[in-house]
Amino acid sequence: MANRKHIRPKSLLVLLALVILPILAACGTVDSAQTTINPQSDVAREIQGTYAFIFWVSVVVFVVVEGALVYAVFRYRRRPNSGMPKQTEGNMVLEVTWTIIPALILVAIAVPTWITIFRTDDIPAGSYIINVTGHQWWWEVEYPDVGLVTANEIRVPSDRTIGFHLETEDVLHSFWVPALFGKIDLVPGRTNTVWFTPDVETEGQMFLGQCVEFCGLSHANMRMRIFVDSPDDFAAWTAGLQSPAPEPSGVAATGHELFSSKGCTVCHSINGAYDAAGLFPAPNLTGFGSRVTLAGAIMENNATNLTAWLDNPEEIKPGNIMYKEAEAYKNPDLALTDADIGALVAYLQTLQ
Amino acid sequence: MATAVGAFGGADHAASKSGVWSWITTVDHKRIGILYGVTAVTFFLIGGFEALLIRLQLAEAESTLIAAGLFNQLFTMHALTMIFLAIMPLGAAFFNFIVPLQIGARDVAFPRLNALSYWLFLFGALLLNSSFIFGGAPDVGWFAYANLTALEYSPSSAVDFFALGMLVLGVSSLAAALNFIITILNLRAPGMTLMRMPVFTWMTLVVSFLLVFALPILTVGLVQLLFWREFGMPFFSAEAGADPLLWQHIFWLFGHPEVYILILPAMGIVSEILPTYSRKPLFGYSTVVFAGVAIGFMGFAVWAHHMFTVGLGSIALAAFSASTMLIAVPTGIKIFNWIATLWGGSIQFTTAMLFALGFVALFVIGGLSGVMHASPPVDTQQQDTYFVVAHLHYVLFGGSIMGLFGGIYYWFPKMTGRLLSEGWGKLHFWLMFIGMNVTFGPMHLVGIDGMPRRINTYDESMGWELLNQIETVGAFIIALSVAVFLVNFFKSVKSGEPAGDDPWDGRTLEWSISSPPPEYNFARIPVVHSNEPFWDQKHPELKHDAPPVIAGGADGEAEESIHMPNPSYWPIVVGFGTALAAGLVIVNPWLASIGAVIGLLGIYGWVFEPAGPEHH
Repeated sequence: MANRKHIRPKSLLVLLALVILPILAACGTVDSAQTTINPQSDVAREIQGTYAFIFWVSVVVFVVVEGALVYAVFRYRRRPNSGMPKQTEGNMVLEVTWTIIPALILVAIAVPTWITIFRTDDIPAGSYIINVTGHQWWWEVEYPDVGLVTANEIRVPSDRTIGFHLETEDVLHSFWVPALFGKIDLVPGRTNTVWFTPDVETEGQMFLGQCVEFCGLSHANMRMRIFVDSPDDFAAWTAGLQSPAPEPSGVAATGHELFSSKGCTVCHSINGAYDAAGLFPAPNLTGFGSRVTLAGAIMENNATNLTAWLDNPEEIKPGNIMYKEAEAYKNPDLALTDADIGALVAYLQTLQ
Repeated sequence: MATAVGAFGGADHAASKSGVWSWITTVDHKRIGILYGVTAVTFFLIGGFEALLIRLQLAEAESTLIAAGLFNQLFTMHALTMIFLAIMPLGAAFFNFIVPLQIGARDVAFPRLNALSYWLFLFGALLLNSSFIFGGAPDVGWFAYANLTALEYSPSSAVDFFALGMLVLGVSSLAAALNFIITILNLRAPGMTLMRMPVFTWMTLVVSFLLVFALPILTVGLVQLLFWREFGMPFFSAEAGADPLLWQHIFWLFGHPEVYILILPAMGIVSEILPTYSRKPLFGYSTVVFAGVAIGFMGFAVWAHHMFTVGLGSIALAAFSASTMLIAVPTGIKIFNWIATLWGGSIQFTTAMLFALGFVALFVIGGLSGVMHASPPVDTQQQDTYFVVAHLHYVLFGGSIMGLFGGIYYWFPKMTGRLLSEGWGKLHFWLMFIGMNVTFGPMHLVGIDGMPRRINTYDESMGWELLNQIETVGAFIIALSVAVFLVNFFKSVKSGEPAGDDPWDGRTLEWSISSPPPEYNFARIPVVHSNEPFWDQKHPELKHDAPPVIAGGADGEAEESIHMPNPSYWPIVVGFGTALAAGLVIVNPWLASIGAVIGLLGIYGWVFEPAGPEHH
């Protein structure tokens, strides 16, 4: 009984914090790197509009319900002179009221939800189509109109609606760049789709995304980026990838030879076909030197990181197929020396 | 306890009142309830330990403390442990101990089957956890989505441990559920119509029906999974023309009712606690009961909201978002009725009451975030992020765990005859309430910041580190609160204040008998005239039309020899044989016959065991 006075201010503070925190959160997290509430495309804005509406309705409901709870708890706490309370067993009018009001609120939430569902469902006609295939643990990206294949970094023109056709080579994955579109899973045996139209103002910007369906050991290391290019930049990029890579010289030429002799070409393709021998598909390395990231967009593409990656890929990305299956890591006769790695790094960086 | 029992217990039972053997052979619903409770709390500690390791790993960006493989085992086993080995059995502990007392029965309908349920649960739990020793625990998420569970992608036995452990646990729950349905429908005291049953008993009935309908679905899926892995029958394989989404449909058709299996017992407990400490009847008893039943029914029509991002198509999205939002209506009704129960009451802030109030306050938050991702477009931004982790913990921790702890503080005096310390209890509550919000509150934010679930590492540049550190601090505050609870528990079991029969001025029948109750519960079976029979007996002045109430209890005229079932060791034999057979399937299907033989011998012994007291 003695605690009664202490309970009030404490719980009031906690409850106040509970009210304020989510609201602060809504304001404070707009700028975080992979935020879901700073939409930069038509589809993402549509989703955000629905979310914002439901969020504020929820805030009102929260305040009313928790307010009633807190009020009842303080107002009707037992006092020394509290007698036997009236034994109220119910009130049909009240109970019907608080059945109907929430039902109406939910209808109010459901209508914009349904509108958004049907406005964002199918890829609009005339969209620029990109095929994405999920692999443990990287994204294969194909531009069917120009016959290009790349990985993990997706460049899109700013003047078109972009439609993705999504498939998976192995297990479930989920494709998500929150600033541009909501997630959609990659399911074996199905082709799922998602689309968005980038805001023109986002030209030159990069957006983060990653796999959000648990896909095994290195699920956390399956990330991606979307770059919104001006139409000219996009055209220059595709043209660049379609032209042959410069003939390597010096140490890079050694690296070029090693790339074949160590067996890299069994799975990795550079230019030409989508996948080389195709024992199992690995990222197409055409234009690798111009990519910003490597190893499933988990680290910056520079000589140090690339050296570390080639030296011990298992440590950086546990379970990856290259370490498990490639001759250079399985067969001691083909093992990469430091000099080999240096040459390979030099060669890969020439692939612009 | 011995003296209370000694006065009425027959000679046959005198030898079996203490010692390990008496617990192994017990068929007394109260002792089985205690076994369930102690085991569940033990697994709650193990699941909590796994959670702390997860939180330590995530407290630092790019941390290398725990390797990816172990991390995946930890989050999978944390979920499986908390859901199937902590929350469900803790609910079962209360079903066992309290429901027969609330309905004026002397035991459950099938006492030996009840014991079998417990032993299957224990051995199933041990089987599941033994995977940590034998080659690694399940690491595919508690939902075990196909086709990650295919032999090709999960070549170790971890998935087999998952499937077989879950099958054994499923048999346990199914047997228990049937037992409780039959007990509640058949063994109620004279006059206790369905609409006079205490709400906790009602919720037990609803949960038992949910289990009976939901578990076979999971069983089908698990058998398909095993046949896929062991015999190459491609139920979920896209290459063979099947659809991996079939597993998701099966799993969530079980899995969503499972959510209500986890929350409804706590809702029942809260519906007992709030009236008691407000000294008022539950506001709108029949509405609360119907809302609970409605939640149970509708729980089977919302499963696809776990699959809003798999590409269901617009029509299915619209339909399942509607059904999901609809389920918020009966849930809301319960919340409003609870608040109305407090309204005009005389509220006493005991620890149990604080937990019940905490339940209501936190469950509202979990419910509201749930309405947000009931909207499929919104869900495409929240699904599989920490926002969902926050949501489910506000429901299952803020809801289920808080409610169940409320139940422990509420019924501990009835179970042990002693009170838990209120001082330690309040410390426990406030630490847990604060810790819970510090842990799971920021998960909303980091989820909105785009942090996915089930990742063992993240880049520092993502800006998630600070929030994760706060969450980790919160997790340790929760751990501290659990330590406070354990201290309180062990102190109070040994030297807690004597509780008396009715420490809270209770309203239902369990408070009319001694604490702890005698083995036979009621010397004379009570006759019931209302849904708060004990309250009406104590306060006849409050009811104008109160009929005379005849409550039972030890002070009734005791019959010389009350027929009680004999102890039996066959349930543990059958339970052990079944779990052993399941475990040996992983080694070699032929070896499993050893377990099967033990199980069959156990059933043989069981069948020919005399049911009643033996007369020599």
